[in-house]
Amino acid sequence: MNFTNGADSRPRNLCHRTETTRSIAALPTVGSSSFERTRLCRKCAFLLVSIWLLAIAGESQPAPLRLLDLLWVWANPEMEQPGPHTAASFARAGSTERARLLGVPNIALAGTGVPNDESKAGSLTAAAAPAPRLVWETTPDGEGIGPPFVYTKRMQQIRGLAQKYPQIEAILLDDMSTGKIDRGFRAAHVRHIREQLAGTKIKIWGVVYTMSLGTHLAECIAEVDVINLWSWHARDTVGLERHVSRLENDFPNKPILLGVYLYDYGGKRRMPLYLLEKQCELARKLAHAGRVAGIVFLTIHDDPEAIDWVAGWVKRIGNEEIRTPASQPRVGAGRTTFKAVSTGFTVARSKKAIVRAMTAGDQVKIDSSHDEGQTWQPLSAIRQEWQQVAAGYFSQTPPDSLLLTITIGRKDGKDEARQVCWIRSRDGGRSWSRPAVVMNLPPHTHAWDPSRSRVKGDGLTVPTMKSSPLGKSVDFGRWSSGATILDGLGTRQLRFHSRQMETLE
Amino acid sequence: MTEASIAEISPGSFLAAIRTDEAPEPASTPSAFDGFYLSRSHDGIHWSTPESLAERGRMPRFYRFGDLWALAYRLYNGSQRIQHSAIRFSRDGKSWTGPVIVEDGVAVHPELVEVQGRIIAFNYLLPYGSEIGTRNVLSAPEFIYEQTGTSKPRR
Repeated sequence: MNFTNGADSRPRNLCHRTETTRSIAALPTVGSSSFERTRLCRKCAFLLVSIWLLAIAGESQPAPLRLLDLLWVWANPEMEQPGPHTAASFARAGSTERARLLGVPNIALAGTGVPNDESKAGSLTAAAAPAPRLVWETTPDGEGIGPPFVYTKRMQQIRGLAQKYPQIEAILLDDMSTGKIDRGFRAAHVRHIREQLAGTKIKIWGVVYTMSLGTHLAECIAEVDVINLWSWHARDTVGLERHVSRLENDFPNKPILLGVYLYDYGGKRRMPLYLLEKQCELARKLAHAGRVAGIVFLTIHDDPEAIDWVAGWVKRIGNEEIRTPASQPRVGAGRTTFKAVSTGFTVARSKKAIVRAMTAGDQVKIDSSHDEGQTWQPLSAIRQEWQQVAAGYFSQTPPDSLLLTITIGRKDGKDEARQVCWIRSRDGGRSWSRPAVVMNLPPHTHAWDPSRSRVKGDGLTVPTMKSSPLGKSVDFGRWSSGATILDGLGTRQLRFHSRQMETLE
Repeated sequence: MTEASIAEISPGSFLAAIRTDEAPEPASTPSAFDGFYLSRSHDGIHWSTPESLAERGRMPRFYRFGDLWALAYRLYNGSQRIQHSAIRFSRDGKSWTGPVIVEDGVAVHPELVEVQGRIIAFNYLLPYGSEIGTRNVLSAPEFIYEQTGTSKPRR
């Protein structure tokens, strides 16, 4: 899918190229008689060539991509009634009128898909042709939505339309992840469609719902060119970014178009405006980050408030230039999963690897990773005879060592006294010092973390700790006076322990 | 107050991020006991009145990447089923970015490391006992550095 600015192929750019050709033709006519004149003319020619090169460089740069270029409207030709229409009759508006009402340029001709009737298909396409980019939903050959999923004639029809209307850039497989799959549509059918489209630039969009994301879809999604992602239930939009991240991870480099419903079809109610705004703003953010390649608006219900809101939003943000994707955080990119054993893992960086510590039974396991945390290998284990050891946290320590807190207690004494200790490794986590007790925890005390601090200068500055003595919350009044939270663990004492840490071997 | 994390933002200036069991909303709200506060100190003993971060956070942890501070925590609201691992960033410990959501459905805060100028977050997914961790890469933290006016950490 070419998601660059559609303006690249507009006639005005071709006109620029014609002007440039004229300039090239004019160059050889510059003088050629005497040596001096030749030198002078060479200089002039060099200057002219330079100017021309600069000019052509400027002209050949595509117009900056704007958010507007990425916006689509879902059109339903089968619902169209004579207009003119307003936001109050949006559902009955034709394709270009829907686009006008929302203020978006691109049209996805959907609904019942390309009609069998060639002349009707042609007239519907012609009506939408002012759009710079078009997509046609397609159903299998003949009547119905399949099975069988044979697309031979339909794709011939599409090829013919695309020859006449080159802005048709893709076909759309609606409900691919739900109805189609349920009726037996498989990856082989996508490949069959692709074979029919061979030799064209027409891409394949597949509609995927967040509610149906799962492994059974993977093969089909892998075959399409573009994922058109929709949240059927408005309540699911809360996790939309997570779903995008998942698709990014599972199908890297496959463009994602976000579908935005203006009606909550899953909930059978109007789309709450705050959720509409939330979706639009998320889509905007992801588009700027280069994480989604477009946004498709869909409703077949007349809700003038929602239509007007989207139209106003498009007007506000449409001219925003897409910022450099590299300048945005792409948290979802490179997401991988791993086996963690326990919730209590803590991670730090040693000189050559990433190291993690986890409580595993009555010991602390240390693993290392040399591929930035994608895979882990066992490195060492910390055990204490007759004792149970639990991992705390790594401190941010000098690069030559790892500093870890552990809690040590009797194996059978969950609510007995325990000790919070420091241990230190100077070889990247392979071997560890003997534990140095930082604090003694009375029975029934839930506290273990004085380690989130930095070793600096002559000592450890300030501790962090969890504290909930006797299962009750610590009274803030007492805490704020420093009496409770630092009880028995004042700064001075910590500085002492910090110096002690330096000598741990 | 519980689950406090304390960082020395600048020499002699401390910042604590704290989860509290105080009820900022009517106690009848199930999620009313998950407030999230910042408090400051110049001696580690006397602390300012906590300022609410206006969201519910648990298990905060401060990190330092170059001249950038990161506050990693679990953004939690039980009644709305919000259980994100989140990170806020700051240059000076005073003004913080909004939360960057790293992962959804997590049991704890994210653990962060910086590798080759990128921040890698490790999370533990719910339900407890799932033994599934995830790793997310903040592949372009330039955004964060731009937002906070900081320079990139040294590679």
